[in-house]
Amino acid sequence: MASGYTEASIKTLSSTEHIRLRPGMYIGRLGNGSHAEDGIYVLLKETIDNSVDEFTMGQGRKIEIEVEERRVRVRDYGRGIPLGKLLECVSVINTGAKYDSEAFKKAVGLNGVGQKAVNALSLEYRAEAVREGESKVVEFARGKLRKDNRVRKTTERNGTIIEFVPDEQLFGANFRFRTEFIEDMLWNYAFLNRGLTLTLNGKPFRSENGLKDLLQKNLTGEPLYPVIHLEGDDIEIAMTHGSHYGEEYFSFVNGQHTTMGGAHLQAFREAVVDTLRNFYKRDLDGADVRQSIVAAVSIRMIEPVFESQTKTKLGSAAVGPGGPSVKEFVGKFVQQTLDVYLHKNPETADALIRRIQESEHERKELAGIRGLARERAKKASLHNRKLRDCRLHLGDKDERAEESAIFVVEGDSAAGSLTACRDVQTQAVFALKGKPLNTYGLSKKVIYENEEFHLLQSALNIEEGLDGLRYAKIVIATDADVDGMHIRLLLISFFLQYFPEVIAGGHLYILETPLFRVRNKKETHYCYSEAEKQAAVAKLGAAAEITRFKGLGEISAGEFKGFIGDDIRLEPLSLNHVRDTGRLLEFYMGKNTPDRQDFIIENLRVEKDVVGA
Amino acid sequence: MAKESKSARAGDAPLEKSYRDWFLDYASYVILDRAVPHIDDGLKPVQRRVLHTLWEMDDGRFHKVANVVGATMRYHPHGDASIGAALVGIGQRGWLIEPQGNYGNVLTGDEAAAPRYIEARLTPFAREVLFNPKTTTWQLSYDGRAREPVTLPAKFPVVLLEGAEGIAVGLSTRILPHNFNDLCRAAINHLQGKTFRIYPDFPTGGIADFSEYNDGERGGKVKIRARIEQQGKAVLAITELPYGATTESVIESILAANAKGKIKVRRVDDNTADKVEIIVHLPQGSEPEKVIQQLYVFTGCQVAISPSACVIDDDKPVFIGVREILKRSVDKTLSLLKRELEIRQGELEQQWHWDSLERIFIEERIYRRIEKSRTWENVLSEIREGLKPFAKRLRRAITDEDIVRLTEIRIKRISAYNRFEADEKLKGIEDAIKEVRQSLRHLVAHAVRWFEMLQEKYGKGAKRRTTYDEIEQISAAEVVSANQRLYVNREEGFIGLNWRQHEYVQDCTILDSVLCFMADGSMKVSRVGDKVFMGLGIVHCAVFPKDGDTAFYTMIYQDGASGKAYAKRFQVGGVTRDKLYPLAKSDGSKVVYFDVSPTQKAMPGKVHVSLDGRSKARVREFDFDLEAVSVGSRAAKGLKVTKWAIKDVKRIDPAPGGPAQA
Repeated sequence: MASGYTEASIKTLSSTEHIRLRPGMYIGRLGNGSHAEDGIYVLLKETIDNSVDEFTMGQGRKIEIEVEERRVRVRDYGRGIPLGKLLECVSVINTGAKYDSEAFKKAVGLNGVGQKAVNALSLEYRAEAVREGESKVVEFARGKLRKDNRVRKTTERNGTIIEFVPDEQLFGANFRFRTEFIEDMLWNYAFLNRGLTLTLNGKPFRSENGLKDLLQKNLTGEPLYPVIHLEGDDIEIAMTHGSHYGEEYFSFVNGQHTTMGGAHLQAFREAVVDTLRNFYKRDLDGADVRQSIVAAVSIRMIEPVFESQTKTKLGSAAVGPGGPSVKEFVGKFVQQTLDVYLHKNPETADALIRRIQESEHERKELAGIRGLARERAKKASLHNRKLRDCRLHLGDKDERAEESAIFVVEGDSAAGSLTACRDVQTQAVFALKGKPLNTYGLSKKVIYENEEFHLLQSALNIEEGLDGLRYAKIVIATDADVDGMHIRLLLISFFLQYFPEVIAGGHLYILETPLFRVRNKKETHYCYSEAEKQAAVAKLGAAAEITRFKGLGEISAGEFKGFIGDDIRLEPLSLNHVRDTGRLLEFYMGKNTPDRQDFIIENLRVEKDVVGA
Repeated sequence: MAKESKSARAGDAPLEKSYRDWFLDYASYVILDRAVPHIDDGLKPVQRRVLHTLWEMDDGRFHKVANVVGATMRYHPHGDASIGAALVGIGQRGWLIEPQGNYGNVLTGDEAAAPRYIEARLTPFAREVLFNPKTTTWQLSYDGRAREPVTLPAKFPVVLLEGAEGIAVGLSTRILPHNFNDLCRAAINHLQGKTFRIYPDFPTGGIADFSEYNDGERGGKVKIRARIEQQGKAVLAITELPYGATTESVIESILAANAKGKIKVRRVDDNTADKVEIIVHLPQGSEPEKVIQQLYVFTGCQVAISPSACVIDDDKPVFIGVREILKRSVDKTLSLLKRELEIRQGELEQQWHWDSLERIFIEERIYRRIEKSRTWENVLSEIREGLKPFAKRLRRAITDEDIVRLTEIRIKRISAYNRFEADEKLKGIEDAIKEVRQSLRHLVAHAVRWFEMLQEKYGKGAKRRTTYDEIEQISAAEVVSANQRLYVNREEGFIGLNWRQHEYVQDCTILDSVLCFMADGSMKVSRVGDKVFMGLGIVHCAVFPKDGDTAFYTMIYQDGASGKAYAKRFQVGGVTRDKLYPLAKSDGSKVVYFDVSPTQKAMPGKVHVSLDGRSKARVREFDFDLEAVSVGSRAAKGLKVTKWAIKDVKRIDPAPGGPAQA
């Protein structure tokens, strides 16, 4: 309707208004903090980035971060923002010092937007700069200036202090910071900035050996050989092989964790295969070489281009204008240094080739049953009878493609209501029948022998690796009862054993469903915990009807819509801090041992509701 | 916990926490609420809920099992099939639930009819020993809408009577059933401070060896045999089964053993009616004694069961022996009997108090005092005043409640009051109180009487069915007959029993293993069978001696990768069955000479080697001294003979007793 489109409808927004109106353009997704890529972490990151840039300039070896409920405080000991420009620096877009300095070309922040976005998206925002015995404070609320204090004397050390509280108008009433995600973030800063100490509420994060430490921290089992650590100008690499299935990578560009990889990672994967083929003078299969690899790659480059808004996948072809291609840059480095390293360390070279040969052997063994597998695959590609698919998949050219999720549900009774109320664009349903097989101790052959696993594998399309994954989220949706817990264990063990990269890549989630429904004639509350139930009962009075959900089958389709819609509660699973998945699996999923029996008996959970006679 | 720190569970990773949480939730539930019986009543929750529901529904009549299952679901939020199966299981034993309709047949393994056909009710025994709401501890049902017993106040060691079996997480339980009268006697013995022993008794009868019973604790073992009688020269009859077996499973196992050649029978008939009778017809000329032994060794006629008693006591699984279970259970019965007596005493005293009060109220015409009362308070105080002079006739003080109750007495009762009857009744109560007090003073004797009464009432016809006897270990190798003939098809790589058309190797038994060497230098040991694939081109085939192979082997092979020929001398050593061992250096090798010698001395010392005529070697004929090759392990690659292709190898030193070469 053109009639409504007049001069009056054209608006000029101030920069902060624009940020608040279109936050996605600046910080990607909003979210409530349940995902590592949610907006509140981007705010924190933007703030820390500035402090890290100071460190890169050789100023301030320590950054203190405090997170108290929703209030965040970041203190660095850099040079401090010049007091006269503090106000502009945090509120006027395109103001900053990093535009012409050569040193900042490969810096982290570099968008000239960072602090302004943090400011605009915060309920409260306070910035203080300390320079040579003088300090200045400015305070904002929702991007509007509240107080512009005068310069005063201080005895504080030089530096900048930023405090903010994300705005719940934008992030929702439920948002909260999760310490795990912040810790991960800080560890990455520490690994990528050797010598820098970050503290989170007093807990220090510091790394002496950079990416080598990162790998060691993230190893989920004993490495087969000591971590190979290679460094060069603007590039750092660490790698080893474990005994798990799949490949595991940590890749970074200018300190940004590219969780989806991209050109640099692709280049690294190819380069490793080429180098090892040359070194061993054998025509090794790429898949065998990379099986069980754990590696970290970090490069620094000028003006990186990312494929997605959240900067999780590097798209650049070249390392800066006029530079070599990313592929060439990484490839050359790997070929030279890795080859030299292997010549110098024959034990490592031996261990590596043994691992590759084992993988080759297993792959060939699998090939033996591939005939059966192919037949099944053919059937599955015609129609996967366990799957009710959605229309959009990860990697499709659609803005909602990254939302696509598959719900792995327990039993047909639950599949029915989920199917009926799902969003068919992005939500697929895969129905398990009863409890899946315990895969502990079985070889990957079981995927081809067990029809259910095979159908799941083809629904996810991960036979050839994670690249083909069709859904951004794999959501385990079991009943909230004890058998549901068991199915979770069984399924997670399946992924942990054969597709750990699915978990490492942050694709696996648990759907939380309500345990209770409390209702009276007017209101209905769904409660996810005993505490929530008590609160609801208190609100609705004693006459309220309480239903304890025993299975998803009890929830009708209409109700279910609320549980998988915008307010969906997803618990992400991560491999963080898991030292040794082999032992974890053996202990919980393996054979009965006296040790385990004692553990169970000592930690037995008794639930009883005794009433007076 | 010192152990905690080194196991996987110590980590603080979110995933490990989730694993720990979910695992403990699941494990705790399965242990406490699914698979393991409680020591108090010997029941798993599903069984307890079934029985409690039956008790709630109990009106003396039979109820359709489908209805009972539906009603049980108020307490047991799980599948109806598991509830029905639990009910049928208890009904089959018959102690607690009286079955009506086809409950299946434990002897033959026939299934019960569907729940909509069959009916159930509690047995008098169950009513008597399992239920008493006054001594029951209650808990809310899963949805908080009803209450159910935490455990039933059982006054009998039910868990030993019924037996139990359950696989939980991290642990499992197996308690064998016992004889009712044995249990009563043992309970009395325990009450009287005497020692006692109890051994399982199986509803299927049989002969059992309890020498390694270990009191039913983990690590014990019970061997149970079917009862087999000789009915004629060539006819055996199986009349009792080992525990857990059915006629069908036993017959299956006999047929399977026959098919494998472990035993020889002519025909098997199932003549089972109310008693087991499996008739085994033997071929003419067989020795029945030996066949009985073979039946024990090779078929389901003998089973070994490993008991592992585990029960829930005080919200924890405990691993205790059956005697300890009996002791704890009988002690519990004692305290329940005591509580029942105390409750009874309280009730009687209350009744006595009330009856006496009523008598005073009526006989002393206290009711007349309230005729002029205008207010309620006045009524109460008049009665209180009127009763005062008689208070010493009572055994406790008069309460306001008593007075209110007196005002509720009907006129009819007062007018028809019969003093004589009232006296009689009071006297009766007094006698009863005396009796209860007597019992309380001699509680153990009371408990002994309780078990005697039970035995008297329910013990008739509950004779022991399983007899005990020592069962010696029969070694399978001793009773098996070497009645098989081993054949080999070298080209296609099969060995097998009893195919006439192929090359005969030797006689063997069904239990033997066979060792084969193949043309590509690989080796394999497998159990004999009708047709077993060993590998293409069998060079050598022999029965593998039971106590290890002591022979010495000489092998010359052309290596697949390099084309060179190597000679090796070795012994086989320990092997895993059905595993292919490559003895040559690489794939695609070819054996050109092979020799087996019983002793090292008999091994070939020197061979004459002829090379392939097309090879470019200058010397095409030469002797090779095998003595230079040391006798090593089978994995050694051997010593190089030549780099050329070999056409032929001949032994030139004399072989003692003739060569055994391929």
